[in-house]
Amino acid sequence: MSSPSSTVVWPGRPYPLGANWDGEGVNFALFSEHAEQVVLCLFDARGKHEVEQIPLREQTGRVWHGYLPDARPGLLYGYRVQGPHRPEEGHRFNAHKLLLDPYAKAIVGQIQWSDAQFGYRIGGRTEDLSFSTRNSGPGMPKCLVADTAFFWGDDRPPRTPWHDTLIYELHVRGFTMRHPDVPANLRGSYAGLACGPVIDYLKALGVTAVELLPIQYFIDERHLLDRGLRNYWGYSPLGYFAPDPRYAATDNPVAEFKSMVKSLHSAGIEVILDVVYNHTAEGNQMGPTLSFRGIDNASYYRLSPEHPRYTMDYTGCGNTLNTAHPRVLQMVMDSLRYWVQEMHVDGFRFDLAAALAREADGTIDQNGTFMDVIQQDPVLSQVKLIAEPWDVGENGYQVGQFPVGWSEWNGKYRDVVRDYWRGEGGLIGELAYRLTGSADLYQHNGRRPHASINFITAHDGFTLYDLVSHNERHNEANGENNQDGDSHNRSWNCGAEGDTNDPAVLALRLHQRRNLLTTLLLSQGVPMLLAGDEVGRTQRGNNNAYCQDNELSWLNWDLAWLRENRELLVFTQHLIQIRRQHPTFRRRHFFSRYPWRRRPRHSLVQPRRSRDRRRRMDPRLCPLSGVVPAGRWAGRLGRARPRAGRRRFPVIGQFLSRGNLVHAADPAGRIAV
Amino acid sequence: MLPILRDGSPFDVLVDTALPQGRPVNGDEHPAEEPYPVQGRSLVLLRHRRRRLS
Repeated sequence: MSSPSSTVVWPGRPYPLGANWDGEGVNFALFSEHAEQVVLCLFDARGKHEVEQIPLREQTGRVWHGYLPDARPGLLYGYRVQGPHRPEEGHRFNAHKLLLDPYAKAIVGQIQWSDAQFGYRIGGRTEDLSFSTRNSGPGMPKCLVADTAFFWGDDRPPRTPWHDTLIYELHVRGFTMRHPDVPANLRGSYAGLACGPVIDYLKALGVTAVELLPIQYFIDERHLLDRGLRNYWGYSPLGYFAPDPRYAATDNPVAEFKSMVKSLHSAGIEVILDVVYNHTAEGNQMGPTLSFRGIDNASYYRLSPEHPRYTMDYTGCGNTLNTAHPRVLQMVMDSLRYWVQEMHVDGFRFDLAAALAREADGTIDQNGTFMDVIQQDPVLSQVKLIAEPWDVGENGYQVGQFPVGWSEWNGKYRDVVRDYWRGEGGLIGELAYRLTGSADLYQHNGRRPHASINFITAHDGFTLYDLVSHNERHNEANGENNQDGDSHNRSWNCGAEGDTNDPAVLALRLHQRRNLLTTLLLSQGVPMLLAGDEVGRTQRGNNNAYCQDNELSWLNWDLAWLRENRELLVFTQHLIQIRRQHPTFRRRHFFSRYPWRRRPRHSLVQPRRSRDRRRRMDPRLCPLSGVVPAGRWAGRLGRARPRAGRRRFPVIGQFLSRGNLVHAADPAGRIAV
Repeated sequence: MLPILRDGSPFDVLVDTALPQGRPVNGDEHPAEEPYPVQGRSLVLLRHRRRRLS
């Protein structure tokens, strides 16, 4: 460590938080309620040597701050924070640990793991109650004072209406690592995703938004690196303002990310970020001290009320970020606004969003603080907000419970569509709801069909090809004896597990993929397509490839040259074009307030309930006018039992018969059975 | 059996997942009031072709 500072330090300001270059100098501000001293640590240009330690003597409203008039963008820094080390009370200050600024806009390097990153002595008898005096600085990444200036030109958010939106979930690295038309030095990067051939592909496919797996700075956990694996998905965040440098082809991730957004926008494609504010990479009480834990453990994390030594774990990841604390909530909101206003992203998908809605006592309140703050925010309330509507805590399954303004990953849609096409019975009633926007889930509080983000596959689970090729997971490569990942996939291998040369099995798998894609892309709501499903992407049965940063996960573009996949791609484009051409598949309102019959039936028909002419003509009640098909169809039209032949009969939505799905008419009569 | 709608004009077969490419390769028109065979485990999407008024 260095000697005490001789650098000029002015008092500075407590706001904004983080390190902010104002054109003349840099203001540093860090919140810590329980700290006793905060030391700003400056590093040489390579981040190897800690050249200065500058105590921030000013404190305003629990924010420690100082202004360095001689500092410039590019400066590398971190913090050391002194305070009580009383783990039983939830305080884990340890000034031997270099800490990342939670507001760092750029972070350089990756963790070089050693026992030094832990605040306690690894292997010690008292475990996390002990105190480590090892300096973690050399093995830590460093924060970088960023110059965020960027020429946005005429960049405008596409603001695609929800009902026109089609989301494409992709991984920045995996999407282009094997793309033959992306220059080798750009593959796997933000710049690679912005390449002409990639954007041309997205436009030709017809998607309107890309939803990027986490790109906020995250770490590779030590236990993964020890097994020769990496955190591929990125759900281990440590820097909520910094784009991860691992996806940067240049030494300026901030500018490269912005350039990517600008390019996608110019193609009319929105950028949605998968954000992970529910937990951090620091894990439970046995985890490392990298940032929040050392800055103010008791403020940033939800701790057990009875035993604050322990973190509350509503996420399955060891800790839960304490969004019930006003300063932590502020950090989340500041981060979200930063990504919208500075980085120009168009929306967010909130990982384990139920955890964010938990109040101080741990109960979920969908009308509580987090939701209120978002709803009243003039910036955030105007972007696309998507919840993964569950966490692993008590009452954590919140599908259908999020408030107005939110859309949700519709897990029920995924489950019932998978079950239906693999041949499970008794699903017609629920399937009717799922195909028509899931009014049973979202209509009660005034939401519309776009509240339902329909998906059949996502990064977590089987790819579409694997869904029709495997009955069981095959996660051996993860090194956990195939015990990880979901064991209930609602999948069907069509007669053979995994690879096969049986032409009948292969034909059925392709047929099933067409069924699933058609269902997805013609359902009411917002479809989300997993990148590569349209060209037969496979993970060879691995349904939990979170740690597979290799060819198992990366999209193999050679697949797109196989005849069947080429045809599937064309078919997918065709479906998207149909969806785009026919507003009947993109309804802004639900069909009706009347419930679909839940009993198993061969058909889905919603009889007219009123003889009143005005109600009959109400497009919400009777938007479709079909003709009862003759013969075999006539007897399957529900209770009304119209006569066979050409008798007119008001229908809504889709007809279903056993094993077959036949779409009905649109309001103009252009689509009919 | 497909119905006759209004002017008796035919249907377009937009999607039939039982077909190898998911839709007809040669011609997608199907007359009204004719049976359309729907294969098991399949999804069919038809569009009624409306005649334009001259």
